[in-house]
Amino acid sequence: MKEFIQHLENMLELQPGELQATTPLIDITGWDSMAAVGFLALADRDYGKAVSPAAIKICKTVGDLAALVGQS
Amino acid sequence: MKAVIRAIATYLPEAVLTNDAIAASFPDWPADKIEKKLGIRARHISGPQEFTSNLATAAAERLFAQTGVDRASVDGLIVVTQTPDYLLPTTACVVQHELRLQKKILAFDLNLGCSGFVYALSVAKGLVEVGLIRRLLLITADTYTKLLDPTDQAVRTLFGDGATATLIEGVESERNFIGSFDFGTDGACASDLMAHGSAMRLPAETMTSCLRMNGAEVFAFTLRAVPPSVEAVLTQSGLALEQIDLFVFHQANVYLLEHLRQKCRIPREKFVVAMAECGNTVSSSIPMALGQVLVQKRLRNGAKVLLSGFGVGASWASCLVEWADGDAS
Repeated sequence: MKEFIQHLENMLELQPGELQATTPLIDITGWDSMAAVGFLALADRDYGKAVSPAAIKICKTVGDLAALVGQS
Repeated sequence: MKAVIRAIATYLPEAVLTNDAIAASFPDWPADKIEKKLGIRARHISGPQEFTSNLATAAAERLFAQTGVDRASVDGLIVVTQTPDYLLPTTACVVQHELRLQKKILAFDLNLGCSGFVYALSVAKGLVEVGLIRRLLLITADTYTKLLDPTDQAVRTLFGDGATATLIEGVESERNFIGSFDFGTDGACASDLMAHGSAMRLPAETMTSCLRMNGAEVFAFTLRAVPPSVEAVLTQSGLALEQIDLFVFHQANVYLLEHLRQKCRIPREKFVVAMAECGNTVSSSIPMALGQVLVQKRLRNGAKVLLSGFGVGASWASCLVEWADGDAS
């Protein structure tokens, strides 16, 4: 989970430690449609996972995103 | 008889939409962020009275001026477009007249987007190599910006208008200049990039034609489709990735291109990115990028170029082109 959060913070250009597993996506500055595309790329590149965009839409927290790439 | 690409010309409409102008409409989307994320600085916009046939004609006139080819010798014309002047007549018929091409000519439109140039190359190759056509003009032209909702930040940022004209000829040769095709179609993704209300089937809520894109789904489709398609071309041609001199993919956006480049393990110096000043020009993007590469003299005789087009449909196609200049035989 720690490594996943670092990847996500990096992608969203946030400071280390800004995100927790429980952070609601809705509260993250810059979590938008472009970020969702960035997450697809991250899942593919760093975890070899083909995530469905529909699955991202129902995620509520950072932890939900982590679960999509098998990180918990 | 083998089909060979002889020359490529590009035409971009005069009016330019800059990142600053987009940022003025969308305050959360600053100009520097647009360029950093998508690699686009400007896109060209067709004027209110400027349509696909006009762009197509302008690109072809440039090709004639550039090559000195006698227009009377052209016996085939394909116009790849999804934004024709009319549903009927066929754009290629309008363009045949505008260009004063001979009447004894095969001319038709091919309705495909980002994969269209590669598809049209396969058709051109077939027509030329069975001996039906000797000299074919392959035009790509679109005015996607006329379909865009002015309040849709994503599509207004990505798409630009433009046209290209490619001259394809038959030569007596043993060399296979265009080949190793891989094609794909997945209509399940059709609604992810769709111009609603653009033809007979009208949406219930509005009569206004408008393009909608589900960017995440299109991105996900691309990751599924393109790397295996590139692999299929390599397998078919018996070449290793290292033996390809240049990779020219559909210029969708730089973010996607960079991801695909890394995923396919293509060295940066062999991967063409040429969309900063024109945005995503749909079926014109591959020939426009090839045109830039030609101007930069990055293609030597015999260079192997892998093309891959992918997008709206969903439709994709990849192939290998062996570049020939001067005496192709």
